[in-house]
Amino acid sequence: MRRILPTTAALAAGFLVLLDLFIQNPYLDLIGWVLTDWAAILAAFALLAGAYNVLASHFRRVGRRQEGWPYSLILILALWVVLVVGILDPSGPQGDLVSWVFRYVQFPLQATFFALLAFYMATAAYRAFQVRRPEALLMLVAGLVVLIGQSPVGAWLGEALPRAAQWVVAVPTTAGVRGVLLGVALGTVATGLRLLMGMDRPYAR
Amino acid sequence: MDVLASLLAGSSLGIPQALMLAFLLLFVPTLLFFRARVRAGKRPFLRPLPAFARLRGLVGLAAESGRALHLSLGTGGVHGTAAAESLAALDLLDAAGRQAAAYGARPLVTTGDPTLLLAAQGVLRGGYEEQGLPGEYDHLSARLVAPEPAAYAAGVMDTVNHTPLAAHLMAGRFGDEYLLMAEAAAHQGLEQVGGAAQPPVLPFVQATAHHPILGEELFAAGAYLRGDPAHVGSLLAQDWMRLLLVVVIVVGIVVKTVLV
Repeated sequence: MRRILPTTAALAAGFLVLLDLFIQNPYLDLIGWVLTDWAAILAAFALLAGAYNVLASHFRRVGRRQEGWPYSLILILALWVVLVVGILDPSGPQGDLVSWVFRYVQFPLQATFFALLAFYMATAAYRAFQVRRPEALLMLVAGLVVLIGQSPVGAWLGEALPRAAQWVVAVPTTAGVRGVLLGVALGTVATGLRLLMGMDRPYAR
Repeated sequence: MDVLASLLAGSSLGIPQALMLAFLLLFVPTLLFFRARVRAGKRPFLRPLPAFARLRGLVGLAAESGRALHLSLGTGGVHGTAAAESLAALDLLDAAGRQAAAYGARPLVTTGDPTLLLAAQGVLRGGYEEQGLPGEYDHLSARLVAPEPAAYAAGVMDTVNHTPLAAHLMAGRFGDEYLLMAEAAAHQGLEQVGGAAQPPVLPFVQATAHHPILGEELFAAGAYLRGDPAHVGSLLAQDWMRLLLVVVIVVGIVVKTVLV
């Protein structure tokens, strides 16, 4: 019973939402809408469980005085401050106070973090080349051709490099990306079908 | 196409939906056929994928060293567009979790989505229960870090830098933040298995992972690691459907070239 009930519910919900995609029917539309709405509500409950998990793991780190525990303390305090501010503010999460936190703390920190990406790319490329794999060499050559070909230096050196850069992006890169996307789409369909036909039951493990 | 459009005009189906339905109607019997073949004992030869072959060794390394085996599942959830990648990552976690429970290794899972957190906890608990060791399961061995990619990467980098780890595995839905986490693991000298399906992330995986899992290889995790007929059968069905699509594309090119 512990397995049959979730499997039946999952199969029925999956088939009804899939049918709603193919058949225009007001009853199916309503069922599809209700099921999608329930999924959103369940995801909100999962968020509560997630918040508990974040607090529990950081409380444990502080309690055990593990390396970097003061940062966990800051995280716990920040979580409570934002939560209390969001609850007290009459406009809720869209209010001025919470927006201020996101605009002047969260977003600049995110931007700063992603700004580091260029340096990480350089070190990763350097390490990949050190490994001396043929794929890494190919990637390095293609990267250099595109980088130089698309910069003013490339045009100054002649027409060959910009043309080569354009060819690398338009032909092998596009072909490769399309091939990958095709494979990923097939994998996605296969995963969905296994779930719909009850062959795969991750919810019942 | 005009004939198809006029036929569909009388029904409530649009052309994209009709094509998708036709594709599914072909895919389902193909999948069932190959699953039955595999069940009957006709297992195909699967080309070796070093990343999946290395998994058992990394779990063993974690057990011997007493360090944790870290698995980052990305920022996708079990709903929405990232669901298939997240479920494929759960297949990897399922195998790693079972082996970790059997060998006495300590898994540490980080995720950016609360729905995937609950699924990951269920998978890990299942591994311990299967070994008859439900008491060994630690509910904080799977942790939610943050839903925002930058915050998630920062949290994972903190884990990689401050927790004694045996190896670093990444599989699921990632964006540019993949590189930040992979580089942190590289600076710690950790052996890495990296799996992603999104094309912009694949160069990062190729450049940083010792054992990359690229694109659709991620969806083969269940077939390689569990080997059950449904997963192996669906892998074969995918190959045949791909062949069909290639034929359709080539025929389309020829027809278009000849007719225009």
